[in-house]
Amino acid sequence: MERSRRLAPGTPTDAALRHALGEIAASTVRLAHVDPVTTEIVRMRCAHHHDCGT
Amino acid sequence: MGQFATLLTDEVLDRVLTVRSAAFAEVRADMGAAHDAAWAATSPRLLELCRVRIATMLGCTAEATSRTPGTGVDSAMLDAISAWPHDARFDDTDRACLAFAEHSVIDVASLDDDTAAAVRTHLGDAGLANFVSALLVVEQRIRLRLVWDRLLAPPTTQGDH
Repeated sequence: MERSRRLAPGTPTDAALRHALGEIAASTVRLAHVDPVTTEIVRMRCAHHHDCGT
Repeated sequence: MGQFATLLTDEVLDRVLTVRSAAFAEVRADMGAAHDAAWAATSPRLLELCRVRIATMLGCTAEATSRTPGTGVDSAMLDAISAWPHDARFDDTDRACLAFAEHSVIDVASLDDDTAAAVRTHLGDAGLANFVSALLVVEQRIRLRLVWDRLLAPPTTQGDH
């Protein structure tokens, strides 16, 4: 799907919200209750769903 | 639906996460901080409209019928949330954001440029970025709640699903 840029480069975003989202990702990754293979499969499925190439 | 049905989403998150381990409690604390930041970073009115719309679409009755204090949105308007395309109580900014929220829930990867541009017209670049992040927080809470309602809460009566 072709898209144009939706935000200007360097667009400022709310620092507290950006930090909080990063903290959720970090604390979730630190959980060790699910095996790494399952975790990676779920991560890739979510990335595909969100069309995220990162 | 199990015993979680009568609880606020914050209470469900507490029950599922804080009692398991320190690591889960850390996730819970981070989710709470993100929730607070989401409401501070964008218009509470717009986020409340979108929260209730997302909850309605996903079938989360507890979230659809709850009301966030201090948003300035009339409860009757939220009761009529699915009528936003033609109900005169919703203005152009409301409509742009609700259209974005609906498309995001249905298929986020196919969200088109025009839908994003409509929100940017009303909120600006930074406003669009913060709105999208806040939507993510709200939708994540609702989806987690729905999963935990189904999987973890003991049924209230035999045969209750």
